[in-house]
Amino acid sequence: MTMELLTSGEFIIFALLSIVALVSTYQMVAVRLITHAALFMTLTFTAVAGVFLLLQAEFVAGLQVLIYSGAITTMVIFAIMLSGLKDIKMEAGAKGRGWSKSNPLLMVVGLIFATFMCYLYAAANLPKATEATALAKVKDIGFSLFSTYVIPFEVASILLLIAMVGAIILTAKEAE
Amino acid sequence: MNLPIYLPLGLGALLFGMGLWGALTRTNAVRILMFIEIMLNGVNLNLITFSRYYYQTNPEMATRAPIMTLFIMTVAAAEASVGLALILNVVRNRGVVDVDKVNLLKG
Amino acid sequence: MHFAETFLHSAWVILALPLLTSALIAAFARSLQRKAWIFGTGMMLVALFWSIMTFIAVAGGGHGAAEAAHEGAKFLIEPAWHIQWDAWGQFGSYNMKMGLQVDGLTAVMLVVVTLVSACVQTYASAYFDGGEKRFTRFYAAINLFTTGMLGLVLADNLFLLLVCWEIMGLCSYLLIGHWYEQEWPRMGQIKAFLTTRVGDVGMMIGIFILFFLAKDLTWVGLAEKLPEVIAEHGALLGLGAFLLFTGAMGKSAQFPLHTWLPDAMAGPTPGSALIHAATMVAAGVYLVGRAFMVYGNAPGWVLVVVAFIGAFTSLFAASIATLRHDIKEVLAYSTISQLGYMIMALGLGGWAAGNFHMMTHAFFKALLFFAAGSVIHAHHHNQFLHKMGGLRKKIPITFAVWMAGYLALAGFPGFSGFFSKDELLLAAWTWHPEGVHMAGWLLKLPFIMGLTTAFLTAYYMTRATYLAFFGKPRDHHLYDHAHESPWQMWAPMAVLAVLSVFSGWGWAALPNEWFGGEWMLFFEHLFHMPGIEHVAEASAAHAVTAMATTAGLTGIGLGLLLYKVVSPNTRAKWISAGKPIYNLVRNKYYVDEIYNVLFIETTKVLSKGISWFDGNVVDAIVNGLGKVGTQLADATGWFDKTVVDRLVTIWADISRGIAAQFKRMATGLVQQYMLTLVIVVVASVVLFQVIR
Repeated sequence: MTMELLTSGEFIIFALLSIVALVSTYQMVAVRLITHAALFMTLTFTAVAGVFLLLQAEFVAGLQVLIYSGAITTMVIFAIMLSGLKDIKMEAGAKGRGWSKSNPLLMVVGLIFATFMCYLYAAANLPKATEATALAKVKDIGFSLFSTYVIPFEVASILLLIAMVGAIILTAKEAE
Repeated sequence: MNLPIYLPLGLGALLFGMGLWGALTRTNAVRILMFIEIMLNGVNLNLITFSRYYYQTNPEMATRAPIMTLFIMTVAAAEASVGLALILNVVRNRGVVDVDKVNLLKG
Repeated sequence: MHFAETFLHSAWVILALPLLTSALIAAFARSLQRKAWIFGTGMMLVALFWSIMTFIAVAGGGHGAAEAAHEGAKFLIEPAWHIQWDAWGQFGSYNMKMGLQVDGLTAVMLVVVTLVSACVQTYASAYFDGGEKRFTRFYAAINLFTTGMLGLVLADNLFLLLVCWEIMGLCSYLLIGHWYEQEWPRMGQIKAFLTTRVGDVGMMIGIFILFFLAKDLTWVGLAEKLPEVIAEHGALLGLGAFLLFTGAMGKSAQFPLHTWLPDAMAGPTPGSALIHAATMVAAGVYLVGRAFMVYGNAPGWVLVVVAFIGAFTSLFAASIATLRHDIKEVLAYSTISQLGYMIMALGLGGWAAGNFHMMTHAFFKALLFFAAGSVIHAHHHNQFLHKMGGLRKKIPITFAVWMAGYLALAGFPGFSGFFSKDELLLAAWTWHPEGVHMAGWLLKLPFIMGLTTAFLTAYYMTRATYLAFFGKPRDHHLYDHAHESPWQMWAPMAVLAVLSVFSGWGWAALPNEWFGGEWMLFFEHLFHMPGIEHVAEASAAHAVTAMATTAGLTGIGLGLLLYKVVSPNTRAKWISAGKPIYNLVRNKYYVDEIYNVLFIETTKVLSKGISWFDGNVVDAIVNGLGKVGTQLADATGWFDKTVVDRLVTIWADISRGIAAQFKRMATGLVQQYMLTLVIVVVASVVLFQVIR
């Protein structure tokens, strides 16, 4: 890596965002309180949204903030509160029980996976970085979403509807 | 854009790996669900990176990755809602939220 | 005319309004409660207004469009308005397009459906008493049902038509089973659903065949492509057209799929009026009429079969109706018979006549059902004709509108049914099937059957009318408590009564002659089908009119004779003289019983056979195998003990060890499964890389 790259604004921003994302993911594993883990998850999501912006995918960045940082976090926190068990909040920290005592080994599994993927990337002939010329604008995305992909789009909406109905049926208390 | 493609791809892979690690080690079902979301996020990052570096000249192709991402997010949202509902049911019926205490399928 | 054109060009609103109404009623059921009827009727009246304006636009500006036949496309009415959306997806090389269209037939159907639906909604508000639990459910279902029917007539392709067809199937299921606490509605709804399903399966296969042949499902596309197809795949096209007709047989209750309709009377009477009189059963007729480019291009035998099924059904159902005791059942069989009439007309190539009769029938049959409902309502839910009598003094308004409907159905000169029936019989008289050679008597058979049906129709309607409204009251308790219905019930009946009387006048040949007005001809243009020449000399028309009138009047006369002049004792004597025939007809030709034996009993016997096979053959094989296994095991055991005892022990230990290892894998712990998954995925990717 050249000095030029290391001092460029993009790289510095990317490095900062990556550090935030990775550290908060680690914190999700390590932290004792599950509510804190949920908040760290939000932080990760937001940092990844920043990376999306850096990659000039504003639409996806917006989606990320809306769906992940907003909706899913809220839902997780609601689930934590609704399940209403005392010991949920005080789950044991990094010290697991039983078979999952071998945490470091499993971390190695995850990291091996990541390095393996990086190896695959390095082996492939990937394109070099270039200046962006034509990028997908929200207008284009919306256009193809409602022309080429309209049926998958509708199917996705049905999927969401079914998921909603399913969640309601599962959580609703049996009517007398 | 000077950023080499390996950096965002590496970040995606690391997010996926760490999500996997968390999902494998934590026993709290809600927390496992959270890590699965992190893994899906890593996948999304990969998709967007590839589209950014491959299709920057073709706007028609460039729309595919965001739309694919949108569908992944849709499925993720559906999965999270149903998964959390299932967890709530398990908690209600069995009084535990730890997946290693729920082992009805033990051979 | 510009004003009306605006409505024509936004005809989709007619479809959207009832759908919205249905959704809103379902969503705000609790706050609307009884007020749902005002909302529903109001919205339907808006849709009715829209339809009438559309109709005016089509009738006024449609002359030119109807005359200019599509280039190379026989049997196609050029739509006056047509929109298509093409973003339904690309399936292979087929870019699916769906849309809506309006032409003469559609415009007429729009007015009929919205009018009857508005009437039904007004009527039902008074028909249901205060204790009705599922009032809003009924209204939501009626509105959804209307949406289905409107979508069906607006659809510009077979696929959308099928979707709407099934929406109606669902709604009819809901409406028949409205009072599902009772046995009869529950059974009726299942019967209706299953019987129509038999036809629908055939219809779907027919649609597949048509799509396979023409690679298109829009009406325009079918009309353009089928003439090319016929030379090469004539037989297949014939099969497709016939299978499409089986769907119509199910929906329009044609023999042998007619059995569901009488049982569909278990639903509330307003629902019956909408579904089983005016609209849903007309859907099958509409399908045959709309898909006429399929039938017109198909080999001639298809239309001949259609015609004979229709003719047979009409005669068959009319004869059953002569001996029904339940007022609604008489009307139900009468509906089947009249639908057979329309199908017959379409099969005979009398396209305009069939559709014309569909329109007039919708008015007077809905009216008759309303009037019957009013009688039942007045009579404390008694439906039996033999307990009624003399009601004309107690419920004069109902009596008056019933008479309008009765005379229209009986074909009394001057009423709408007279004209449509006349056209229909004229089509039968001048029948010349294309490409099929038949004996002379076969050519006139549909006409004779039609004439007999006209006679029987007049007879059984006179019988029902006389039993219900004339003579002396047979049950004094019920008679004394009979009361006229509130205005919500008689107002829609009055509207329909006016239409029952006059709706035939605009189109019929005779008034044209009498008045000679050009404006009388606009129905001719509306129902003009390119490809069918209207050949009927005036002398034939007059002869047919004379014969039809005679048949109708004779039927009325016979009815009066039997029930007014002849004493009940003589009637009983005559019945016992013709006992076997009486029993046969009284029991509806035992069709239900035959189906019971054919399908239900056969299934039972079959399942008993299978059970026997299971018990004796399969078990024997299994036991035999078991015995062989046991003996083998004994032998092996002896072998084990004596010869390879030690070896076996070692193997057993090994397998036990392996099993214990495998058992440890099934921990029931999700995360271990996940880990296994990850390892397998990574390993397979590595393997893939290595192999490559």
